[in-house]
Amino acid sequence: MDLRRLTIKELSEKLTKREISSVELTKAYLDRIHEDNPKYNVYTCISEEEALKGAEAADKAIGAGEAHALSGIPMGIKDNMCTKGVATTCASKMLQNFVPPYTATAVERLYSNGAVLLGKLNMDEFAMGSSTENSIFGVARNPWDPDCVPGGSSGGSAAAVAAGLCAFSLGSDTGGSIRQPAAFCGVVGLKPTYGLVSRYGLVAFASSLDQIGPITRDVYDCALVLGAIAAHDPLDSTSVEKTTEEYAGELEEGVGQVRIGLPREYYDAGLDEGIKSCIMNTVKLLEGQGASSLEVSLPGTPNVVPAYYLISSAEASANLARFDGIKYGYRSPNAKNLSELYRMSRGEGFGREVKRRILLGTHALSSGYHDELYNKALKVRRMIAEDFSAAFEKCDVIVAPTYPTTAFKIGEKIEDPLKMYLGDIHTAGVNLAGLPALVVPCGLDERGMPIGLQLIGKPFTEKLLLKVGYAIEKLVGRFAPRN
Amino acid sequence: MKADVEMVRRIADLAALGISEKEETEYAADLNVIIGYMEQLSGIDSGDVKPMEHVLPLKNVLREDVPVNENRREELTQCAPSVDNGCYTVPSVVEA
Repeated sequence: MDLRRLTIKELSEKLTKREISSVELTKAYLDRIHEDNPKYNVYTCISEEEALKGAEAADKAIGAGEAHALSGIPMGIKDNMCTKGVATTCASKMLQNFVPPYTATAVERLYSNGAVLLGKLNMDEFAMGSSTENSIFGVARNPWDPDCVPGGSSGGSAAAVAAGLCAFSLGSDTGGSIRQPAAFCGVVGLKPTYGLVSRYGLVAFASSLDQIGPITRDVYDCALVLGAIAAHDPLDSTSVEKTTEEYAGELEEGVGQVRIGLPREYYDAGLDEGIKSCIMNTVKLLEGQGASSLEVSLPGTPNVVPAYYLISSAEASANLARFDGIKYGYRSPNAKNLSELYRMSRGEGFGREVKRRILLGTHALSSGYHDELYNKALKVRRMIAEDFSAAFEKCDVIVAPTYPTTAFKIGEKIEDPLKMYLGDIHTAGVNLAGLPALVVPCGLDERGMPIGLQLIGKPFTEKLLLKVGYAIEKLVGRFAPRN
Repeated sequence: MKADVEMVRRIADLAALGISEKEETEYAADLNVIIGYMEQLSGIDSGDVKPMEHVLPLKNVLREDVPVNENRREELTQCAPSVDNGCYTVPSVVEA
């Protein structure tokens, strides 16, 4: 039996029954990583020593009858979340030698639930990108077709789960960075409601949009990991004061009479026909279980991409001002004075896309353009959020595509930034409005590449999204690449 | 608005971002297309819609002022590219 294809739930059963130990399981994963990582390039760093230490501790806890939900389960973490003693690079030359002196809260919560860190996962530099091609470690590859991108920016996180190189992972989502790679790699990905998961220790990209979430093999695992990471954190002042919920308990209740909204604008021209028909077939299956569907409208959809890129780049230009070559990160060896030190360290340390966004964001915030660009985008943001509120008066969940196409080829879009940005049309509105959204695989296209269906809910309706996602998984099954 | 090399130079200066002449030309071309696309927002009637900086109703988060930080000077300065005697070093700021 191939341990690497098992879910967290299945692995936990084997661990608690002592059929395998966490050390054995962790070694099996590490062996496979050494063998397969050169093919997919999903890990930026393998933390073998920490992994084995964590596995030994988990085995002790299990032996003592003190197992937690994730005890002994090997995981990977996107390389923009701080892990004490393990390099955290954001896939950037700027942070290539950075070993954080503290751990992100979300990761700390996974540790305290017994999870074992295998290593850090590849991504677009500072989470800016949709293909994991903007990485100092080189492009990550899609396990379904190594000539295709795994999506981005959490491409390593999604591809590692799909390739069986970790049992689950964490990604971060600012404009679709968990959901689009989950869709491209045929795995489950959740972007939680803004504020549900602490951002403490997540290297900030756009603080009003960023959110950490799980990427898993199935919906049950997603609920399990969400339950472990979602909690109030006094170290993040935007973390909400909600009591921790049990997300995995009610999944089997079924969809009941859930009302599904289908946003007209998302199914317009531009969406791949195969994706559209696959999603519509899945909706029909849900209707067979008692759900109903109706068309809704999100008229601000054409404005999502411009508003998102103006706001996220403006916030990024401010957040990335902290990289000055002094307290941490890259320092240019060629600077002769302080001003040069800043300029040269930043110019040499940041990659092409990051610099492009800093320039765009600085421009949008600069005197003379602030009102016309940034402030206008903030007004449009409210209009987009109000579109969602109006739609949710008629429906309980929105069923949408995740991306206009399935995984595209490496190199296909990287030279045309606007073309790359336009792909975010189905995901970035969710971040602007702070909503939760779950991606579950619902089929394969004619090339055999996975299609991800996106379920969008009102704030803090993760339980409902997971319930509907679970029903979809039961109806259409799970998907895994052949190798 | 048309982005040109001069504009790129001005914003790179604001952002303390050192870029080469070649990059200036490339970014001018890129930003021209990108900002041109984003200007579609100016055609939207947003009337008296209030700007939305954040999705949550942000409020000040207060807590008791209890000292919690232990002295981690050495651990933290280890992250810096250049340290002398427990202090960050930078090139000379005041001209001799």
